[in-house]
Amino acid sequence: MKNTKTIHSSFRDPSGFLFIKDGTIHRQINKSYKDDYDYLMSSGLYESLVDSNLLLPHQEVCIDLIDPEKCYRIIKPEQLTFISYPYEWCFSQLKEAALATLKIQKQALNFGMSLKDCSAYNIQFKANKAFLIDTLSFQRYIEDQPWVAYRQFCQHFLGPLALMSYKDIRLGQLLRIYIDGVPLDLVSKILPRSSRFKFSLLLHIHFHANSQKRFQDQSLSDEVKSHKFNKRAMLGFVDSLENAIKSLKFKRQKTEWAEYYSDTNYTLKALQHKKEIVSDFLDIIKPTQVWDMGANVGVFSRIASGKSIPTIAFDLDHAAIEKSFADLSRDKDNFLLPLLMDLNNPSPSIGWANSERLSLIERGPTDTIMALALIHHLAISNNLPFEKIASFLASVCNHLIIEFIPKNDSQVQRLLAMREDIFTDYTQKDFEISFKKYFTIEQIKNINDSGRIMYLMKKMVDKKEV
Amino acid sequence: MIFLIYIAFIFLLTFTLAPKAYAYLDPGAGSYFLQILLAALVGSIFTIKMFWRSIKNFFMKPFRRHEKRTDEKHQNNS
Repeated sequence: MKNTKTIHSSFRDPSGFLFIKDGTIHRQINKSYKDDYDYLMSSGLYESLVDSNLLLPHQEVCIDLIDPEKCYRIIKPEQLTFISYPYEWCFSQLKEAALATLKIQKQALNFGMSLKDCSAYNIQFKANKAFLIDTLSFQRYIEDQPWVAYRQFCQHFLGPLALMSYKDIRLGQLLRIYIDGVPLDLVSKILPRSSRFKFSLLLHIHFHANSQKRFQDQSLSDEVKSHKFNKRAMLGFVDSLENAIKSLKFKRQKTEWAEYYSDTNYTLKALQHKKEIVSDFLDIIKPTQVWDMGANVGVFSRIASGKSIPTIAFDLDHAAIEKSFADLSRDKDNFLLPLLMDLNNPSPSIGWANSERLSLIERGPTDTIMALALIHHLAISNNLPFEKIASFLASVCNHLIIEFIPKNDSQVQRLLAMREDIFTDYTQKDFEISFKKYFTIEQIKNINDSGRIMYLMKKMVDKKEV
Repeated sequence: MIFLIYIAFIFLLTFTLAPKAYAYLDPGAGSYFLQILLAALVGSIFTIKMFWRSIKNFFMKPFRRHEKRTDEKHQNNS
């Protein structure tokens, strides 16, 4: 069908699939899911979840069908500007997503339904609130049956959060390797012995891992299957999981980046002037979306989100993203989404045929990129030539707000302190020559009380390569 | 205590059930079994918790009403 393509992330569930038509995401609901969908809509559960901001709202639409044989309904969900993945979330975001999932399960049980899957990929963030995007995740609750999504919940949420809390915050990145959540035997092996003294972890991680190992090569006998698992037990498991998640805390560490603005060489006057320049540039561009690369705790991202522009604050430092996320509730900022991203190794495309979860580049381009106090880290710490940086940025944005940090700046000198200065091309002139191959320079402004320079650039129409 | 629970769990896991071998591998079989095995324990803990919460709420009600009235008074005064 013309201008229509299916989305590769939704092939597992036979209840339906996602597709894009004329740039808008739609979801086909198959006839096999008719009863559950009708029950979701008529039982009051849909309204209840949408009212609680726990489910992405949708409209039923009439359009040409991709698969008319199977189709029952087509829905158009509220469109999202960016899809983020669990390995791009900080600890508190993953925790928020886990608690939202359990809240949804509790509400579903109240209305006689239950979640049939608990994938963390079904959760997205609007402001600091987590909500479910998969309308097909519900099924009628069958009395006496255990929760089919229990294993998935533990692998996608509880296991990674326990590892991040008990061992090391960086272990959240295991979600990037294991697309269906971290295997519980691995979680159990990595967790310290002390975790066995916590009843909820002993139950949901260690016993669970043992049980999985025991039945790895076997199916359950009919005798086991005939055992009753009543609603009280189901609510007990949900409650126990909720307690387990709530008890896990992010252990604060002092990091280089989370303390950046207290250690920086900026004077207050320079910082204020830089904020004014960023604000002026944003007013000129009027972007529809901003990605702030190397955003730290999001000081400058908030200038964009403060103008009601959907903004993503990317940074590789977990503590910085954690702080940025925590500040969202205080600031009531509904347009900012802080995410973990190492620009030297951005999220790749993963999953079946490398197309189930998209790379950062595939989720672009964005309207405007801000790269403030970043160029020296890429060029000097990562030995990237200016042209490679310019080429990459041109592939993911239309406008660029970028700060050039001269070599005599104390932050650059700090990077060069322990190494030979092989960066003879690190000059303002070479920077401009390289970037002019991909962008036109619209404005240049010096930051007062500082040697740093701000540029506003626009991508040349024919430059797309990386 | 935790140690005793652990021993009991391993015992139950090993001796209470006789799973059929050579059958189709069910990746969720262990998770399914764990839920069945612990249904009574987890369900009972939940029931006791809810019972305790309702008792607590019953006795805390007069205090909450008092707090509510005080709050309303403060709001009216301001």
